[in-house]
Amino acid sequence: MSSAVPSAGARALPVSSPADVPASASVRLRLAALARAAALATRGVVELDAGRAGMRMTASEGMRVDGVVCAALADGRYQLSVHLVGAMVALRPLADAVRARVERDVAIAGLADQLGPVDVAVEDVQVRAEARP
Amino acid sequence: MILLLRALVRLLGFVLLIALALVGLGFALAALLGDQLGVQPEGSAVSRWLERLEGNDSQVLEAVIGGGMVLLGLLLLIGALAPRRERRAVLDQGEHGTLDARRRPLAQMFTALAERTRGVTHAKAKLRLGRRAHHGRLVLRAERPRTTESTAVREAVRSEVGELAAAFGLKTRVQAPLGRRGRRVQ
Repeated sequence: MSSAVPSAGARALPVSSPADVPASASVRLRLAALARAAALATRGVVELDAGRAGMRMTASEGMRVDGVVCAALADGRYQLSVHLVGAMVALRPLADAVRARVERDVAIAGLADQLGPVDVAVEDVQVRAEARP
Repeated sequence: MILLLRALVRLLGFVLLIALALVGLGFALAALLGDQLGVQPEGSAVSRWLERLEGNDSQVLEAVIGGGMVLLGLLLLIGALAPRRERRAVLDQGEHGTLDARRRPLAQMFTALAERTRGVTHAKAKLRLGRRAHHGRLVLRAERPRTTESTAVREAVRSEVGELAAAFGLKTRVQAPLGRRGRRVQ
């Protein structure tokens, strides 16, 4: 869970909103912050999960984005992996919704040409009796 | 290249371990059957050390070293045999990205789906994932009351979880034993 104390990048300041990241920050960090905010705003996403050791995150320039791993690809784009805790909903539509929202927000930020594949990893689900997948 | 190097390291490690095991076996045979095999370990450092072990002196140091070696061996075995990466159930894999899930939440989902099925008092899902994507086995145990037929419950559970299980490429087996007393039907 994201509440776990991260071991890597623990001193880095956690980013809670893309507004926390300055425009001069690295593309990697900006993409990760945008993806985190987009995923959290998606219906069916309960929270993001940085893992027990807090390794699932993107750290750069004294800041870190928990639950999103952003890695550079050989073609110059960046691959995003969003590690989420989902509600008891259908997983394919959830992943599609997360991807669509990430792509939209990244395009608004003018970084669409930098965005590569967006992986969605379901780390946990919150099972509730009233929800139905 | 990296794959080749990894294979080389594994092969060397394997060969070295076998060599070490053979040397150990040789020492053991020499100590036990030295006379019959024509080996004379008397007077050697190993022999003196073994004599000291057989004596009445305290052997705390040797015991600690022995225990440490056993522990180290167990740790090495775990390190060598434990899978390096957690297996994940892959739902989609393509140019746009991958959608996968950990085993535990997926089993929770299957359990929740089965428990919502009419006539099921309690359910438990066991999930084993294969090495390759879209390969795995799902065993669902759905308990039922006496008033419900086993076949009906199995069919109902199968239809409830079938779509999700098929999407992950899981072979599904549903068991519907009689539930414990006091458990209520959903």
